[in-house]
Amino acid sequence: MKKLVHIALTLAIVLGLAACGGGERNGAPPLYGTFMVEAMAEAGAFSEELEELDADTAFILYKLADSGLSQEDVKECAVLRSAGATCEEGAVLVFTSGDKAETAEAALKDYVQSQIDANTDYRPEEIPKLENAYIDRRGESLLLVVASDLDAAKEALK
Amino acid sequence: MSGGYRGKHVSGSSRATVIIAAAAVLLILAVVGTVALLGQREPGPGAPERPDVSRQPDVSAGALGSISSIQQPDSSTQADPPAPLPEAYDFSQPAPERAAVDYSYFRDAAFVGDSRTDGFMLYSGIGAGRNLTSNGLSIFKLAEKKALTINGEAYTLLEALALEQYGKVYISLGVNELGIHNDARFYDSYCQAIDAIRAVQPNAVIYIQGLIPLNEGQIEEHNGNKYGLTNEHLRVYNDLMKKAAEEKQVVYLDLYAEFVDENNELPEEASRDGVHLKKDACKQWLVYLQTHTVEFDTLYPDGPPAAEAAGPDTSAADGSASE
Repeated sequence: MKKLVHIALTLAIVLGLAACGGGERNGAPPLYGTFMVEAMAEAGAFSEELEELDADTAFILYKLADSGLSQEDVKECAVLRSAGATCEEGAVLVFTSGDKAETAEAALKDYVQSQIDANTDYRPEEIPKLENAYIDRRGESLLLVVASDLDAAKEALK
Repeated sequence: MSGGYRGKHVSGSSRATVIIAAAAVLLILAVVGTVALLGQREPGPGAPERPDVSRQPDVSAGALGSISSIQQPDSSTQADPPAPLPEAYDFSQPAPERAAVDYSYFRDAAFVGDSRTDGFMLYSGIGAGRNLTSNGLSIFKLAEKKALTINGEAYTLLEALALEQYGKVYISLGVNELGIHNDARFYDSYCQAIDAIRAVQPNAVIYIQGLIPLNEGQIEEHNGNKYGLTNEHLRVYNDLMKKAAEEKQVVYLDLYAEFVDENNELPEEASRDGVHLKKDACKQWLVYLQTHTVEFDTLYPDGPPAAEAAGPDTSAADGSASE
């Protein structure tokens, strides 16, 4: 009996971990997890140490309300962003549904374009990073990377 | 008979005396009571107003007329000493420190500035106030550069500021102008900006934020200091901003003193590129703002100051005079 309980618990933990972003989704790539933002930083994707942004500020920064989203639509969020020395940033946002994430994906694309517009004259050396910004959606999770070493960032996501 | 009469006479005279005395006492009591009652009541609509000591104009500041034209209360009838006159705000000095306000104070505040202020809005944790910032925004371009996009429409900063009414306007501009050596034009532009802001925000407390110092070594390392930013010129600009604040009767905030280190620079740990502030420094900035506030009525006890018409900006985009 004890052995059965032990097996059941182990199975629950394994299934739980898979649901937390680490597992396959019927053959599709796993969802992005918020821990991946820190992983990208540790992999040297960014040229400087970035600052953490809280979910409320990120919601305003990415103008998600303008796209009809509410703060309750964001389940989880991790954002690292430059304080101003560069335009680098990494973000993972997990929404309550894939539709919400799709809406936010469009907002993030607008955000990157606004960053390009705002920095073309001010920080022209940052424009290539912004033009190569990586925005990707997996299910209800969304990733944004503006990095000096995008390959290192992608490697960290594997 | 006469004895009886006398007796009667004497007796009648005493009674009359008693009655007269009693009537006199009653009359005195009635008069005293009436006076006492009247003294406790508010004056009626037609009653003459007593001078209100607490609202007396500040004679020393020359706020209203001459000393002789001001009614002085009769000190012989005043039981309590007059309340002290409220001190006029000294616009020649930076705002003094006081008890911290909470973040709700900034709900009706607009923050006008460049990328430094944008960083402040994101990393300080303020969570309130309108972010009216634009990268590279310059005081020379305030009225012309369509720096802000709101609901898909481009606005100059002044146009955007006029869209709503604010209780406070915080201005932090000057770093992007440090490489331009036209101090007179900088001063004129700042004064014009204050006039323009006051014209659209007549009921707002306008705060001029002195420039936070730079770390020149970090700037050199980051981009070779290609724009020639120096603390020496920054201090000149701060002096000019302080002078503009005094001339235009707005509040000056000495953020330079808050951040400068023993080398007269921004401490290295506060920034990565020598200009923009890290999160902890942004939080320090916020605490400074929380502890250096002034009420509108303290600044302008006689009502909002008249907005002066901002003269035409004759400077070129780079700050050089076009005439």
